[in-house]
Amino acid sequence: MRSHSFESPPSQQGLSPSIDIVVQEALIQVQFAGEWTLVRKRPDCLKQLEESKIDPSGFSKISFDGSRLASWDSSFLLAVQGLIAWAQSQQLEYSTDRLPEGVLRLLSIAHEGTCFSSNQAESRSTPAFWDYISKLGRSWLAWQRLVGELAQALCACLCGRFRFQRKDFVELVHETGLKALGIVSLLSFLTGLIIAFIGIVQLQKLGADLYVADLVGLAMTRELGALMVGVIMAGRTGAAFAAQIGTMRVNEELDAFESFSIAPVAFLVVPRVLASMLMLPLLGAWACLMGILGGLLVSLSLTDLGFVQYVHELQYAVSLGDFLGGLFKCWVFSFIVAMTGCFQGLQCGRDARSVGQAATAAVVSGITWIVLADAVLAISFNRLGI
Amino acid sequence: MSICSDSVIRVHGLGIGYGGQALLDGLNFEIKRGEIKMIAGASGCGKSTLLRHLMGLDVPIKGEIFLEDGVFSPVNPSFQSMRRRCGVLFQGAALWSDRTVHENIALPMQYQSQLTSAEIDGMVALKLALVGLSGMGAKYPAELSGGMRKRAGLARALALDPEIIFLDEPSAGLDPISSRHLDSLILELRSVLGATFVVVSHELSSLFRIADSVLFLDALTQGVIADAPPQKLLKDPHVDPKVWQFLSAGI
Repeated sequence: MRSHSFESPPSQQGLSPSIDIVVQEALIQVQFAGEWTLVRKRPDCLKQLEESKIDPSGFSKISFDGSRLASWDSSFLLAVQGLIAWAQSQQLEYSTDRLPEGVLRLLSIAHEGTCFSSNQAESRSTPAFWDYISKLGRSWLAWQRLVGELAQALCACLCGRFRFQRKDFVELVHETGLKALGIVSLLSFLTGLIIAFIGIVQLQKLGADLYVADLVGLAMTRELGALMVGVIMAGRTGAAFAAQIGTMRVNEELDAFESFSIAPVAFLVVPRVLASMLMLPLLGAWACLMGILGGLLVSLSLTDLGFVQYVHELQYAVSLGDFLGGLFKCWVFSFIVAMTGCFQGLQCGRDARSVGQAATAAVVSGITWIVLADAVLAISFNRLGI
Repeated sequence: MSICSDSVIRVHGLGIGYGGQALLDGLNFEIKRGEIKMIAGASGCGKSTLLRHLMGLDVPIKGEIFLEDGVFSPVNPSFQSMRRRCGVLFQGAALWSDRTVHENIALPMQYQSQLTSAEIDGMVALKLALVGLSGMGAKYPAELSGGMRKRAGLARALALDPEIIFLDEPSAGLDPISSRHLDSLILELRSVLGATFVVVSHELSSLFRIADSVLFLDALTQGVIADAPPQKLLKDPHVDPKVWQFLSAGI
């Protein structure tokens, strides 16, 4: 708000804002003077009232006098509002007659606005706890619905009753698979390298350098290859799915699908889930290979182990079951990544902020579910002797 | 303007809102076949929300919407086939941004018709010609102006030859000339296709130009305060002051 100047005593121009509190019989008079603008340091009116040690119970009225104001803006309005609220709390009658006309008009508009918004807030307020419970319940129901609709859509696809666009599927395969190859390669290679380095340092103490191949091989194939790919894809693909579908929600593109009786789950979720489930196991296998290569590089550099010995030891330590178990984990993780990403996208609100929230939620929930699933699978494999 | 007397949409005791809070309640009205019904009212009164319910995108809190004789509700087994009789032009056109204009119009036909791809191409060209966008099929939505996007959205809404076409703020964000062109197009399409149009708008110029009748909503009373042709409402001495105030602003 621009500051307003009006016919004020010239002596007040350029003066700092101040208030004087004058007491006359049953009346407290608050006199404002100087320039009450945002750029000036303003006095704390309520504190000044307190310091004046006036007992409000001995008075019946308070009046505000702005005749000595040089200029004012919304900061003055705020001060007056605070004083009015104080007067009301002390059950004092208040008079604003000697305030500038503009201030009175703005106070009246602000009062109407406050009444309107407080009525609205009152009618819509519900206890936060029940809000949270109902949100949780709705989210659970929406998840159940998505799983049901996905099963229905997959059946429709298998029976040939619904076909998704081949172009979309090819693009998604490219997006989830080929484009992720670089980051998966780099991180897996470095992971293998780090495991080998730490392993060698410890194993050399026992003179068992040879077993570094076992360590890297087993860690990558059984656990880390899948986990790395799962986490990378949750951050990359899951977030992308949530943002893409969330943006479609904001732009009403999902509604457009529904208006033509085309189920968004069949059209958008099925190809994403299938593309992820096709590409993630392949990326998992690639990640294992890169990790093992990373381990090989460190072994060749820091130990007397040769290439043939490393590969021979690897063949001895890592079974086909270990490798397939890792790929199975990737397959499970791919389903989790695609489903959490699509779910958060479909649940997205209708504003830009919700898209960001959906992407964040997709990554957080995706990684959480991946780690939980990994724990369950690790225990299950152990029990099954895989 | 020729309007048939039978109603294509009937709304009975409808209550709509979000999160259990009613925005509008006890709505009763009908929309006649072939008419252009405008839904008007102050901002925030629930026009677009009502339209979403009429389109079957949201489920009402109470009451029913009838499409001819059937209840237009997801629990009705013929809901999807009923929906295919409706076309929608969303406020921002809602064109699928990763598809060309041609693909946008063709996609509903690929999924909801038995047309061959050659026939679909021919149909898309026809729809584009209807809205004056011939030769624009290869463009992506981002390459179109606001008015062209609206036209492309209208062409997509016409894809399945709908009987009822819902338009949400068709003139929003358009200059007066584009807005006038769109109005002319709607009138032309109504006369050519005989479709029913349900239009949400607070553009008074459009309202007087194209609407056969106007349904006025009021947030305070949470209901309909007027439902009649706009010229009739202007002359009616008993009309709600809010309606008169709204309409007279356009004179």
